Amino acid sequence: MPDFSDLPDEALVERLQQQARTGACPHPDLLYALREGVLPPEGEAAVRAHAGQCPLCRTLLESEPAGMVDEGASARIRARIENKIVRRGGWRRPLVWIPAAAALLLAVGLAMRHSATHPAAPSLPAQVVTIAVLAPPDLGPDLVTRGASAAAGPTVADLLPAFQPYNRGDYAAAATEFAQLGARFPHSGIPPLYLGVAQLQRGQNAAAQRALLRALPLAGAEERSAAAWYLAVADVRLGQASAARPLLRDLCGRPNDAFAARACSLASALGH
Amino acid sequence: MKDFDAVYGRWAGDVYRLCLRAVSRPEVAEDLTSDVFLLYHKDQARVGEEMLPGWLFTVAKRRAADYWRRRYLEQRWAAGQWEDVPAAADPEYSLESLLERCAALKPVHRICLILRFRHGMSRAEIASRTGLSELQVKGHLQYSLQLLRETLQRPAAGTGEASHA
Repeated sequence: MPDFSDLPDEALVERLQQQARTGACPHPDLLYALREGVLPPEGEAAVRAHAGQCPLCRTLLESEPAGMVDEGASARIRARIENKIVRRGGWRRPLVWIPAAAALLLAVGLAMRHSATHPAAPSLPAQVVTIAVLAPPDLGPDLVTRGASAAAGPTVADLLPAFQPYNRGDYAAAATEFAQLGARFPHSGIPPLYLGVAQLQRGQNAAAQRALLRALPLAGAEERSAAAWYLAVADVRLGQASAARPLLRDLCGRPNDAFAARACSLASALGH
Repeated sequence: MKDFDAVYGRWAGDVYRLCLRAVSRPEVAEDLTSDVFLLYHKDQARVGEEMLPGWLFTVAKRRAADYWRRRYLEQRWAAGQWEDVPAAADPEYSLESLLERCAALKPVHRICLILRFRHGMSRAEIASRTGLSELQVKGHLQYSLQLLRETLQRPAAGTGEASHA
């Protein structure tokens, strides 16, 4: 039997570290997310099943939620809001609570805004202001012969009514068609991918973000990089650079990928 | 409460706490909170006073759910967050067993011990997950170790070595 009675604290800690790490547990953050009901279904099922039979995870799951707001967090959130409001061109009037640093940020942002012709352009990296349109997929024999069932994916005949307006730059009509295709073929990544690109072209960034998030897990190998790139563009346009960075890093690390160069360029522009 | 400043002042703390509970990472919680109020700033004309704070909390939860969905999609994060670790040399002295035997431990002690020894978190990481200060975490861990030591000095019940002292 192990004898802990005469061990100094450091040795006791070491013994505990050796003894305590048994089995496989989800990260505590997943348990807390489960408690708040914000995990995606596939994650929720797995974490809940584990917590049901693991006393340690159940202890964490049943603990009192944390969440203290310190002064630093409050000031940082305020500064972010001010900064983003100005960058989006939506500033209306000074907010009475802004700290001095945020006020300075506001003044700089307004100066940039007035010096530009496009209200939202100055604060966005050039890489996301104007984006290249994604070329349509190769509508070759594979697509023709797949059949028209929802499980098999859309055929060329299904896709043409959407790609015709898309190819002539009528993104509103294309978005409507792709949205309908997405409802008919919920397991295909093509409709939400091109819906997202069309919405980006129209400046509907939040809608594009939603569509591209749907596209990402559905997209095949060829479309996945495109989905990741355009999702990153939507993120950056929405001021969510932190969400874009992992996507860009992943793309940038694939030298043979068609989107690698632009991803590296945008990642560099965003900084850390 | 129509004024943005007043709404922010009244609800920002609650929204941040909700976000922090949902994503656990302070920097992400700050980002989500700012997004929630940005959306409110944009839509405040159609978000009536009677819709608050429910509207803010709903948006915050959706943003947190988006964050997790993205973590799952982009990095296969969940798979990497299941900590596959070697079995203990002596299951009788596994953390599960020790916590069960040491009845004097309060919930906060158990949580600190689990986060420290099962998940290998630093005091700062434990503090951010529990809302405690690092100093409090240090104190709880030290006291927990003392309680564990006292428990370990007594033989486990039902092992055949126990003297029922």
